[in-house]
Amino acid sequence: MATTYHLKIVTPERTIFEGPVSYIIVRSTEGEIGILAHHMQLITPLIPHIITVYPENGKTEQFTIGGGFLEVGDTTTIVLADSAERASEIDVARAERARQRALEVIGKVEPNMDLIRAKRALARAENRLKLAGRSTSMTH
Amino acid sequence: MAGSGLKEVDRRIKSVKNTQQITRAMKMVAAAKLRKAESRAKQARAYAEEILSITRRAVSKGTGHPLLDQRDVVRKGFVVVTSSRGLAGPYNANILRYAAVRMQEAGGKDPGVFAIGRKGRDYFLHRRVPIFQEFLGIGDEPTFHQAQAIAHEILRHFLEHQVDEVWLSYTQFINPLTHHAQSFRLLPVEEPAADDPSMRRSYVFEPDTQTVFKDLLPHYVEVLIYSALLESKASEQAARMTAMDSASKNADELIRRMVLMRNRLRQAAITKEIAELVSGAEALK
Repeated sequence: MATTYHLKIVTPERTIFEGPVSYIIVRSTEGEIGILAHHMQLITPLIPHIITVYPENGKTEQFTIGGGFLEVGDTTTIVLADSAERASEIDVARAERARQRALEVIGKVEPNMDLIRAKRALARAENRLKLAGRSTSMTH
Repeated sequence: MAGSGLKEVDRRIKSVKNTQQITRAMKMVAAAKLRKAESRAKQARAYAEEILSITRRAVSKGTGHPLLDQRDVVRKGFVVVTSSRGLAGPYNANILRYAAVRMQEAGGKDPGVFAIGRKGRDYFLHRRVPIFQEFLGIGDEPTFHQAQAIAHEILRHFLEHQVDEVWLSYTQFINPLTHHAQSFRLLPVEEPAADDPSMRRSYVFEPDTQTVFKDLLPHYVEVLIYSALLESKASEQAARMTAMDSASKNADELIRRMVLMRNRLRQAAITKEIAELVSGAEALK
């Protein structure tokens, strides 16, 4: 039995990761889940988080995921991400600005403001800052 | 052009040269835009393909969402992607002819269209095909935001039972010389072929099918509309580039022939003058 499976992380802009992996950790709306080979077939929405990927051989990788979907299939697992970045690709200044903006929106008490969207934006910004900050010493 | 004088031919040559300069410039512009449009279309393709297959697999394992309703009496809606500008060779004619044939085959109650692009709007307006909604001014670089707005209207029409099936007709870009019109059923989502290996086992939806479909299905429509816009835009630029290239070549050929004719006319005039001179001198002897 194979102990690895094929993982694809796709965003509307590009395919950021594709290859055999032994394990990944993602966060769905229901909580954090780890996927090993021969996981049951699953479809679930993902919330903004940092995904951890353990490739078959090679270094552990982490990406920010700005929400999306996870499909665990027979032999292939696909992460459909709204956006995804490596630590080295993150624009820290931009993420910091986005965080401030989101905090302002959340702080204001206004009717019909989009609290869910602001919270998602905040989560995305904080994930980016977190991943960019610890890009040198990666621990999970 | 028989009987026209030397000056007349000169004027025509100049006019064709002017036109040729325009077609050459348009070709260059289209080529530059094509490069961009092509890379955008290709980058978005993987995502669109994945969401299409995931959604198809998902709907075969779970039902009960309003967007998956299979209705008996069918009024089909066709989303037809065209350009807003002409001079793109057979690009618009091809997709419109293709869509018109699909609509004739459609059957059911009188089908209508969601017209994207001015060319398509004008075509269906002229033929008195009902237009649910028109979307003009997409521009050279379609944005995801525009696709969302279109998707929103399509979803609304479907949920309000104004349309029972939605087909997406657009031009798939293969390479700068090949692109063809095609369509598929957008709503209700089509089920995958039975030989898909993932179909053998069941799926688990977390937290449940309703929650997954609530997020996934509208997103699926948005992404596929977006992808259709990008593919069509790349095809349009490619078609325009090819059309302008052949127009420039035709102009070359036209100029070549007219220069030949001009030289002949000039030679004829000179010969005639000499003949006159000679005969005049002859008469004086």
